[in-house]
Amino acid sequence: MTNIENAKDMIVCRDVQKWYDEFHVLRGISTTVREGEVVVIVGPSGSGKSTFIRCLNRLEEHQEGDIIVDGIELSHDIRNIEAVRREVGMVFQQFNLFPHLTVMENITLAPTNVRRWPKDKATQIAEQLLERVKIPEQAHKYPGQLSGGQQQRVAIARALAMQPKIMLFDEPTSALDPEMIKEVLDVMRDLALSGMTIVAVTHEMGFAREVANRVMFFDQGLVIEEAPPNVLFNNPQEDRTKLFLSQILHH
Amino acid sequence: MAATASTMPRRDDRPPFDFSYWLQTNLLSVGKIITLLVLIALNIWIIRTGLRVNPLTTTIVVVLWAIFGGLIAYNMVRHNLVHGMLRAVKVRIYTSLHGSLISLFLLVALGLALYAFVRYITFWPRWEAVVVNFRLLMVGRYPRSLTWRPVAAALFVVVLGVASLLTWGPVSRRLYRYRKVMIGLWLASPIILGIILYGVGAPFDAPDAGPLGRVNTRLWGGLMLTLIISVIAIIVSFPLGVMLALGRQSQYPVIKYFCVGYIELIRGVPLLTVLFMAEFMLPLFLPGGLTVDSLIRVITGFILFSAAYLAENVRGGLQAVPRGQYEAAYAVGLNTYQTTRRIILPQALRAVIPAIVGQFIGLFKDTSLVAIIGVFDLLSIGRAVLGQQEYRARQAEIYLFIGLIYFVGASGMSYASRRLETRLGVGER
Ligand SMILES: Nc1ncnc2c1ncn2[C@@H]1O[C@H](COP(=O)(O)OP(=O)(O)OP(=O)(O)O)[C@@H](O)[C@H]1O
Ligand SMILES: [Mg+2]
Repeated sequence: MTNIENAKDMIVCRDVQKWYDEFHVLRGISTTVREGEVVVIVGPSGSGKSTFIRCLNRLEEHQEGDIIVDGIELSHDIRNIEAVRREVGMVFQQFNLFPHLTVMENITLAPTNVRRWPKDKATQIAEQLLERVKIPEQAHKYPGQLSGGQQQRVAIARALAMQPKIMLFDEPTSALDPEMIKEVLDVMRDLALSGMTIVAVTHEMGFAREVANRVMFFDQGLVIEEAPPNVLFNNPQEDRTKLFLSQILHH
Repeated sequence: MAATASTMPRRDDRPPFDFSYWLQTNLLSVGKIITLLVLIALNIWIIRTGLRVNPLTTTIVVVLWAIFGGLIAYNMVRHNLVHGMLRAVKVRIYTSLHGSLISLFLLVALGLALYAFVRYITFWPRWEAVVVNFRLLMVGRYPRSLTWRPVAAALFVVVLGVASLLTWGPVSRRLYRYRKVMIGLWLASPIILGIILYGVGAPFDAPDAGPLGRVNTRLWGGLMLTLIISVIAIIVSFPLGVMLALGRQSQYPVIKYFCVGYIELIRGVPLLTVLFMAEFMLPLFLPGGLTVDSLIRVITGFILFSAAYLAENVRGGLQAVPRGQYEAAYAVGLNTYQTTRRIILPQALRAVIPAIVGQFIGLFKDTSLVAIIGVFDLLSIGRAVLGQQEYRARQAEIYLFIGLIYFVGASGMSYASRRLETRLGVGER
């Protein structure tokens, strides 16, 4: 996390706009995420947070503006899209593990098929990752046999197995029971402290305060305000930010 | 709490049987009374019929039913409880007023059927119709002198099947390395079986035809033909159906609408029409002079038909796979092909195994329709046998035998499907 100012740009967004038919979801997002930076996105439901983060690995297509990830511009060119997806890991709210594969197979599938690593190497790395997310003993179970928190940690390991340069998280803890949230946040915190570039949609304020370099507040498809966490949380400038913060803090 | 628990009535001192309550629960609504009347009418009808055709069995069943019913009713009224064997009978047969009447109907029907069956078995059926015509039923008009060839083909398949079971089974790890050989043999088996059954070189009745002379497929028939048609149609239509289902979801309009059009067209016409088209219209479309063996045309008809239905089954499975699965697969960098092959299809197919196997069982049985275009499958050979003067009266035996073969085939597939489902853990993951 040292000296983000001079680090190279990992994600550059210039005036990104997106429509669902008539509905203008993203109305001009510009931002730059530097290598090693941890960015947390907050905002009311329907403000376009998920849509934005999913544009970053082209699960959604933007119509206007540029998105450049690790020097590669996201366009209709499928080779560019696949190149970006190799370098960007993503963790979903609903885990989305592959239910017909064991934990080990979930993690090694992409490295062996996309990176074309030999099976031994992929397995070895998967074992290290499972160690890191603290469930080495679950390797040969199926996702359906794990708790929500364990599943989400497998999902993180699966994303990390590709050795991505960037990790995207879309509300990774909101489908979890309270007692499981901590185990996932612990893993995410370790990851952030290890220097990974992270963009995370989450309303876990503790996590944001602790590891985020910057918090972006989204509303109605626009970035209303962005600042380091203690500034944005303690001293918001915009009325909409204040209103939003008061609502989630009262929860 | 403790006080109420101790005053809770034990089983034995529940309130005694209440007749008016019983009447209320059993005869409360018009619907219940109507079903009751219908059931009584049904019972009167079957008991009267039964008394006419087989008074002894019918009387025994009715009397037993009445005795047990009476015993249970007596026990209910006296002790409000039924014990032991009587209880087991009550649970199964006298579930309610309506249930008891349905049981009576079914028991009488069952008794009559059982009696008829026993009588048939004791007047031992004359199986010689099957025995004498066994070769005909198995291989049709395949030349008698060459019967060893279908036998060799069957042996080849059986041996290969058993060997594969051993190689893949838990017998010994040392057998695993023969798996590649097995796969090779299976892949080569169409050619091997083709050479054995169809032959090479001159027609078999020509003087210089060796032991493997060509045998025209017009002479093939019986169970052999039924199996050939259904197995080839099943194996070929499966990948075709999967491709059609995937094509239906394609983003390219040409592919998509071709698949939709094909599927809807085939599903819109009866199988017989497809078979007629394959038999009589396909030759018209082929470039002049080119002829395709009639058997191949028939099999093509089945493949085309089955693929369309399979595609719809697979589409159901594809729709059952959540969007998140595609997203997760793309997000880890898999391309469209890898995503389909590794993530989507395994889940989609697994979800529709019962439907697909059901469809294949249907296909297996529908092969009997080829009789209508003059192909001698098992059933039409059976009818041909019955056409002979001396076997005219042996319908029961011939149809029982044929039915048994179909039953073994169909229930075998059904069993395999259930094994496969448990192996793949459908529903528990
Ligand atoms: N596939 C879609 N088609 C049409 N509209 C969509 C689609 N996906 C999302 N939207 C709309 O776009 C808006 C932004 O959705 P998005 O999921 O990005 O919100 P969000 O900020 O992530 O909200 P939440 O906190 O509830 O997850 C919402 O109004 C949603 O209804
Ligand atoms: Mg969202």
